[in-house]
Formats: sequence, C-alpha cells, structure tokens
Amino acid sequence: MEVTFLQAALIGLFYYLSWSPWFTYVGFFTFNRPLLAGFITGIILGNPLEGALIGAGINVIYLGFISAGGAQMGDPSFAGYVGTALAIASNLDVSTAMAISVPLGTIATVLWIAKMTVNSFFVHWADREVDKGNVNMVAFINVVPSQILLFAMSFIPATLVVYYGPTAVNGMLSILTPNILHVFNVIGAMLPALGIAMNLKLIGNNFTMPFFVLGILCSVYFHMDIIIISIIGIVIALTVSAINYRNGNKGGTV
Amino acid sequence: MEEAKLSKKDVRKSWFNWFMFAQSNYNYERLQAVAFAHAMLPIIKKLYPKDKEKQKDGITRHMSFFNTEPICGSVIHGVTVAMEEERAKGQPITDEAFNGIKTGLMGPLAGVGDTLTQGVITPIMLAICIGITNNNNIAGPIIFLIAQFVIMTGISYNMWFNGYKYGRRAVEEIMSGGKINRVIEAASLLGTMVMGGLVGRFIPLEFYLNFKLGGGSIFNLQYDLLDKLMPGLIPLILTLIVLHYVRKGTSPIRLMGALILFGIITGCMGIF
Repeated sequence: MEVTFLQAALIGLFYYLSWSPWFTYVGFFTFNRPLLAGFITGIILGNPLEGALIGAGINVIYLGFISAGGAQMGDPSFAGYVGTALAIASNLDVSTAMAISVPLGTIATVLWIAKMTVNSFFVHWADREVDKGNVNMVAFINVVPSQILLFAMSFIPATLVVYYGPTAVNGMLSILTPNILHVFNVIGAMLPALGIAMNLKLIGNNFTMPFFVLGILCSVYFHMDIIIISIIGIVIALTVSAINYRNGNKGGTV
Repeated sequence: MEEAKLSKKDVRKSWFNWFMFAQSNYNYERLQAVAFAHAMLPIIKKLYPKDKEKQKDGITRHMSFFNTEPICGSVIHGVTVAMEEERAKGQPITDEAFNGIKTGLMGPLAGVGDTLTQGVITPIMLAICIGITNNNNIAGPIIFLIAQFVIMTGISYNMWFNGYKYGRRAVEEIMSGGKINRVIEAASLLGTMVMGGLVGRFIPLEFYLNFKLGGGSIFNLQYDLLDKLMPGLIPLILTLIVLHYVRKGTSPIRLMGALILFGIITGCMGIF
C-alpha cells in the first residue's frame, strides 16, 4: 500500500512523543514499546490488528531492553514505529518484519547518543541562569530547548524513512527469491532468543530456571496460551514464596 | 514544633514535575541534574517566598550530578523535600548532607528500581499482552497501556509520599525490609516461566533434516526424534547459549550480528 505524507508525519510524531515527557515518564514504559508502537502505526495506516501483531513480534526481540545510565542496545521505539510501517506498506510477514526492524533500531541509537551529548550544553546554560538568580529558567531549560532538539532529531528521520522507505524495501523484495525469504524467517525466529536471554540475565537463576523449561513445555507441548501460563506461574510463585518466608525466614533463594 | 510549611499540593506539584520531566534533559554530563532542580523548584519557592538569594542557593544545591531509576527513585526526592522543609524551619542541615543523602541513595535505588520496573514488571506485562495480541486480539496493546500507567504511577506517587512522610526510614524499609526481595523473587519466578512460554511462540525453530532409511522410509530428525524426546529443545538450547554469552558480557549488538549470521548460514544450508 501507499503511505501518504500525512500518515508518515503522524507516525514520526508518535515516535517523537514516545521519547518525550508529554505522556509522563510512563510513556517510556508504554508508547516506547514496539507492541504499542505497532498498534498505533497500524491505526494510522488503517490496519490496527496487523500493526499490533507485527509490533508484538518486534517487541519480543527487545523484551530484555534495559536502559541504565544512558547505555542501551538499540532503539526499540524506532524499530517499533518505523519497522511496523515498512512491514505494512510492503506486505511483509511478521518474521521478515522482525528481521528488518533490528538494523533500524540499532542505527537509531545514534540519535540517542547525539541527544544526550547536546543536552549537556543546556546544563551549563541552566547553571548560568541560576547564578544570575533566574531560578524559574530551570523549568524552561529542562523542557523547551531539549524538546525542540528531540523533536528535530526524532520526527524528521522517522518521517522520512517511513515515507521513502517502502520504495526501497519493495525494490529489495523484488529481487529476493523464496529461498532468501526463508532465511529471513529463520533470522526472525532466532532474534527473540536475544530479548529473552537479556531478561533472563536479570531474573533467571538456579532457582527459577527450571520454571523456564516448564514454560516452554506448557507452550510447545500443551499449546497453552500465555495467559494460562501466567496464571499457573502466579500460583507457583505465591506458593513458593509462602513456603520460603514461613516462620519469619528471610528467604534467600535468589 | 513549628507548623509544616509545605501543603500536600506543593509536594504533589513537585512530584508531578519529576514524573513528567525526569528524563527530558537527560545528558551525559550530569544526567538528571536539571530535572531534579526542576522538581525542587515549587518547594524552594514556597519555603523561601521572598528571599531571592536563598532561592538561588536552594536550586544550585540540586543542580549537581544525579541519576537514578525515575519511578522507584522517587523516594529520594520525597526524603529531600522533607529535609528542605526541616532546613527552612531552622534545622542545621548542610548542603553536604543533601548531597550525601542523594548520591548515597541513588545507586542502590537505581539497582532495585531498574530490576523492578524494567526487568520484572514491564517484561511480564509485555509477555502477557503479546500473548493476548497473538490470538488476534486487539485488546493486548490496550490492556498493556492501561496496566502500565496504573502500576507505574501508583509506585512513583507512593514512593514520593512515603519518602516525604518517613524520611530515611522509608528507604531503609524498602532496602532492608525483605519485602521488596520477596516481591522480586516471586515475580522472577513468574517472569522466567512466562519467558519460557514466549520461547515456544516466537522461536519456532525446527530441524528440516531428513535421512533416507532403507525401504524407502524417511527419518525426520524433528518429528521422529526431537518431538518424541522434548519438543522445544532447539529454542531452549539456543536461548541458553545466548544467555551464556549475555552473562559473559558480550555486547547485545554483537550477539545480534552473530544471530543474524547464524540464521543466514543455517537457513541457506536448509538445517532450519
């Protein structure tokens, strides 16, 4: 399908908003995630369900995404908004969409680094104003210049890639054979291992890892929905926690 | 004792400044310094309404390096607001005391906060809502949006006001009370199991290899062997290998590259 310039600009705008403070800090935990990004992009392009499904797939890769002290592995939001838009425009399946979103998200990290560098200059501006006694300028500098910068650095590239990208992707697809598309599917099936492993680094240990195997079996062998697996997980977690902390025991299995 | 100089509205205003703009001016030099000062602005202006010099000193003392996890770290701001109020009442609290409290608490709370918000709550909510979406149900992203806002806003607001009300005691309660460990422990178990569920859905790797046996029958590695032993064995092994390298400290970008390369090779050879 054809992406109009207005649609591309709307997607670019939401990409900016997802990193901005205008949805409060919770925006980082919601609009910034590919699941929601895909859904919103899908609404803008007239196919919410397709968008949500693609976003869900991309999000698995970034499941273990942690931003700590400004260091991070790519930009899940860019991968979510732009990746979903390109996938819908070029009729890609979810695995192929996942495979093309990852490089997009990795390149977009540059935007984040540039933003954090330029923002350092505004701190000195704030220092000077406070020194002169203009304490109210702290609020202005915290919000206005940094947001103008962020807008320019996020809205423009995202809009341009969404508007001109589909032509490039279609050109690429026209020379691909079914065999190469199969390779894309294999890559798309491997990348989620990274997102899941990154999260397991944090929560997986000798005590919890057996339940990882149980989760796999529930899903692959018993074909249970994630919701059912979560409910079983809650039951087990509450039981184990109750046993661990019985008689004032401080626990310590983790 | 003197009457409290701050109203609940002032404290809420301060919380809101932080809750909105904590990361607005995030930068390499002093990270969240300007945002911290921004949050203290309504407090300082209320405590020293006419004294420009004291307003200036107050904001300057909060322009120093600061970085924590914005949701759980809110307790530090609560404590700081309480200390500012005490100081305005005449308690001898030095600038060094403020700095000591802030820098002493920001590290540990960043650790606990990142684990809780980015490591446990968000991935579990995501996993569940991705699962819902994958059944062709549009409610997935919507439930995710609402649940995250309710949970995160609740934690942030409560942290802030507990810090304000109980001061340092609130932090000690959180860090050593064992309560938070119990929550993280139970949530880790749940999270790990849900991650397993996602592996089954999103890493559908199967061996394509066939072996011709005598008598024209075909032996398929996946259907005739692995599915009978343990279905999902390949995704399990792949995830464990990646986990091994993540733990060793290999950079995620490099691992991404390796997975793409591995996918190209095995895909071309027809193994998967």
